[in-house]
Amino acid sequence: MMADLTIAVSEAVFAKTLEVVVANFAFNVSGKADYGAFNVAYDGRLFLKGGSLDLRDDGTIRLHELDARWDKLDFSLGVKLPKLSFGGGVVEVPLWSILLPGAGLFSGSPTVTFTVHLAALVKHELSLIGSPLIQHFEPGVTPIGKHCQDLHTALKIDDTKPQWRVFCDPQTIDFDLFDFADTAGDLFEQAFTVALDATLPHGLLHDLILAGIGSVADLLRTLLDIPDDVSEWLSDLFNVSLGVFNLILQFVADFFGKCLSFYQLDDPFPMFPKTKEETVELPAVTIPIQNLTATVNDVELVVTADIGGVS
Amino acid sequence: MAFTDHSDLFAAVHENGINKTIGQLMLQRPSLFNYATLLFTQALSTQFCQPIAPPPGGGPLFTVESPLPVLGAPKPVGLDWCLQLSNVSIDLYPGHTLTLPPELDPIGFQQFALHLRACFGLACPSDLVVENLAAEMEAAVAESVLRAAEPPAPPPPTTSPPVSGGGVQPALAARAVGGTNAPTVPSVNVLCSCLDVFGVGHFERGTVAGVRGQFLKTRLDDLEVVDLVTDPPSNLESMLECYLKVVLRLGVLPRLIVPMQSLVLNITQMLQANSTSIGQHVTVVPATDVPNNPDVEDDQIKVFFNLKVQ
Amino acid sequence: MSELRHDVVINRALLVNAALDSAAITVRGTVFHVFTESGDHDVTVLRDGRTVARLTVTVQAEGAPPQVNLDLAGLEVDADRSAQCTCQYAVREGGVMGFTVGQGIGRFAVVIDHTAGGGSRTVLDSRGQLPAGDLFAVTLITPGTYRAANLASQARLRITVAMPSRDEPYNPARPTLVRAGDHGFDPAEAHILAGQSIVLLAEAPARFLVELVEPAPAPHEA
Repeated sequence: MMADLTIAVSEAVFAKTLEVVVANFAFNVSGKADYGAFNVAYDGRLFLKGGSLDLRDDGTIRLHELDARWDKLDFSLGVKLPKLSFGGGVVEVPLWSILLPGAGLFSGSPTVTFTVHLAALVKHELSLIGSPLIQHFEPGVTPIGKHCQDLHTALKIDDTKPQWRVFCDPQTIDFDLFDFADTAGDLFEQAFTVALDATLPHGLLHDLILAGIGSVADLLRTLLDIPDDVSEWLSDLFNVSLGVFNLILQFVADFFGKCLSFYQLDDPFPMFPKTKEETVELPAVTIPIQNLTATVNDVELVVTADIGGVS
Repeated sequence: MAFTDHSDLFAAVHENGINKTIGQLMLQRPSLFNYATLLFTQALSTQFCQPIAPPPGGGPLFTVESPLPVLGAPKPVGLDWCLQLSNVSIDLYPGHTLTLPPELDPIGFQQFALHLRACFGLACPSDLVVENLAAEMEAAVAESVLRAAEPPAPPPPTTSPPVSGGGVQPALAARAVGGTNAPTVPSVNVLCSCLDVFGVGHFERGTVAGVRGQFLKTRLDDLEVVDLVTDPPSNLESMLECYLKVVLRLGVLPRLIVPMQSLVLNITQMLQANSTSIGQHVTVVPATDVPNNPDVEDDQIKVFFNLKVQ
Repeated sequence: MSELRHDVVINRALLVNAALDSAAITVRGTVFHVFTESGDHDVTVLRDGRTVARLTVTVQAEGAPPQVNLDLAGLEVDADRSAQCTCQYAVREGGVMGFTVGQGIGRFAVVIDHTAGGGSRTVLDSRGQLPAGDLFAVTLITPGTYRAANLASQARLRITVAMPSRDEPYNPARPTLVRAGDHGFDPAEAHILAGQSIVLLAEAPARFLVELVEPAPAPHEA
């Protein structure tokens, strides 16, 4: 039997909508961490480019090769210089040993912080396959996880009234990890080494310091505990230690999962609002919505629903 | 064949959905379908032609109207009455949901049929009450006649315009003024009569003289009041149908015209109202390359829209 | 493209080549006093002739560390207006206290009085001579030829300071001990790398002065 309400959205609308979303989307992310000998901070802004959206005969929607790029990705690395000193050591005198105090090169425990702009050096690609998922939300009954609840509060989503909610339920999410090219690692290391070197006094002391520590690059690697590949270290930092990758992936999962719906319909649907005519107050007229379904074929997304009759 | 073969967006509502919506409207806003005088809240509250269920969300049962004036009464007086519309339903092309009177059957391509049952109740006073009131009316007339027969009073020193009329019924001027709040003749019996009314109409797009742009109009093609039979046969049914058609065509339907530009949904503006700005101008506009928009067929009203991104 | 921020403050005193005098302790110089007698000792710290701190050192037979190093420049901060520092130290009998200057251009001296049995006896006045057993350590940074003199015995020591070469491993914390007796220094010459220390042990009362005689030519002049 034919549904009371039918709404169909063509694949072209999805494509145009994707274009609008891509053109207007930005995701800001920032954070910091202290690892003792060094601390890091990042501040970035992600935007989207390209991508295509297809509706498929198997009832799924495919988002294909959506590029996520960084408009800004500032990475700050602060290293605490070790106590470099001259002199010191132990001297053996008759009957005992004496420890000589060293003459410190720096006052206090200085930190050198260097910020590089990594935006041009990394990009990600997102592909996703999902299908529409319908949920009838009942306040107080339908469970919402804590993270989702925080998101709803931040986005001012009203969870106090019953609604039909349509989500895109992702079956696969393919999002590239941070992968800094080798050039990124080289550039970063060189730039930071030069910067760190610039903080050391020039002339005789500089030469002596280098004689003691080997090279600034060596010092840096020792302080940061970097293996051979700086690019790999940067990637690990962003993907694992700092969890930036997870932040983005979580956002994608929230957006496409059962947390943020892309369409919602109040149930009962308010047809006419409450009105006041002279001294008479007329209550709102609401229409119960039932059996909301959504199906996808390779041409369109079709949503159907029935209107509840008078019982 | 896909729904969106000729447009980006498609929406359709089945006549069953419209009828269920009308049912919900009748249940939740009975005052839109029931009209009566004030006495129906009190002495006549059990005398409706059809009982009215209280709406679940509260609110009035009917809309209060003025009494039916007793024409010619020397003192303003009216009769209580009620009008109730029920069984409101719609049947979209190709029809077959409503059993139409032969004058209207079958409905044509792109047409819709509407049915409602109108019950009119008149609170008819008893002869005794009318006689008592008649005595009051006679007293009022006698007083004015005797006052008219007396010689006129001398004019005052300053000039003033003469009292108009001075004719047979000087109380006529006051009657017209006091008509809306006229007391009613008390009665305890309501006589009810119900009629089934069918109408057939269609939607069309057109212009309005002197105004730019296109408008969506609802047109009444025909109207039939069923079985208003008299003996001997007379033009009563036709007169009533004529009156209703004129009221609908001149009084009701012109108020329902919708300018096409108001059907344009400005997505950009809606997003801005929700504190989300986008750089494009996105609108949903009615599609123009479909033969009928809205399209009435397959027992549905279908509308077609396109998404414009600039 | 990038930004750099730092709070690095170089200890500029390291580059100043003033003479290192055991009677006026500055950055790169340290006087070590050996406490041979147990009991309380009053220590007066002077900077450029003015008393800037007073403290107490208790020398114990047991239960105290064998060495305590004091930064005289840091001590000045801890003292109140009357130059009385609330710090108290304990050193093992036979142990050593090192008086060093971490930063700044101040010239310091130390006077230690042994207060026992109600009296007071000066055991060290670094403005004069260091008693036998005490030591004076100097850290030499600028490459070149230095002369260390014992003003008490007029003995001289030639010290050669060289830049570490790229081939050899370099560690600044490798001091060289030189004994200063009545008859001169032993060894008679010392060779160290820039940034390392010479430790002069006074086998007899001594006052030490170490000066740069001839700096080594800069690398491009070599």
